[in-house]
Amino acid sequence: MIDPERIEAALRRRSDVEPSPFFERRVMNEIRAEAPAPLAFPWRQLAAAVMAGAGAVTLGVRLFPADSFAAAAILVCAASLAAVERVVSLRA
Amino acid sequence: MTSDEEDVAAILGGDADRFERIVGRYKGPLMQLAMRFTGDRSTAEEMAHVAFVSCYRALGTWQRKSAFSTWLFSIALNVYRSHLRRAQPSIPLDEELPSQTSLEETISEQQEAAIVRRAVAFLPAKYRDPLVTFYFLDADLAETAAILRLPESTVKTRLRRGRHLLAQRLERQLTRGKR
Repeated sequence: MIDPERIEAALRRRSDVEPSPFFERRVMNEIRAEAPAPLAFPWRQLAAAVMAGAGAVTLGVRLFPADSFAAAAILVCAASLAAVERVVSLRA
Repeated sequence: MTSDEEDVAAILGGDADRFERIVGRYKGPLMQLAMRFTGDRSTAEEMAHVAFVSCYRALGTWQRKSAFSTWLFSIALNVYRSHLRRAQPSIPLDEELPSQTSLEETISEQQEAAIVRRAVAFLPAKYRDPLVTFYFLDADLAETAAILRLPESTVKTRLRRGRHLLAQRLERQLTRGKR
């Protein structure tokens, strides 16, 4: 039976294979053709929008206790639209 | 901030040329990882190329929960796996393999590693992928599971069965070599 440790050692061993000399140039040519650079996904803005939405719901319930559901729905829609607009304008 | 993080921040800030540093740092490891899936050098290079471009496109989604290298390797693994779903692995012609060599004979460590790598490339994907991720990336069980998006228990089972299957296949090669 083959020693399992030898197999594991062989699996861990890295070869010294490197790509051809012009590899970097080829990749970078494609990257430059892809410009502009990818934008960071606006996690913070998204989180802020979600928090604003939650705040709006709370406020809506307080301001319009008689018809709190409708008020909350309107405020959530407004907050969501603002968030979407913000995300779209950031990525444009 | 690591050099990877600095480069990513610069790229996201609009300096696409900084990606060249990332390519320079990881071209070797990504190529070596590709060689675990295909023995053909030019195919491996093409796969590594696609992996870098995919990484660049997805750069904005890296959330820094894991090291940049782990994230990059997981992208590369997905690229390589989807490539291999369309094509069968080829026999590594560019590695110096002794013909019908037995592992018990005196062979160099490099030759031994090449034999094992070739055997791994021909394993079913469900065993090959955990073995490559776990050993080549030197990942622990949790990292391997996260990269492959599998439960840890599944990865553990597949690693055990994969090692067993690999040993069986190498044993068969050994027996053939003795005849």
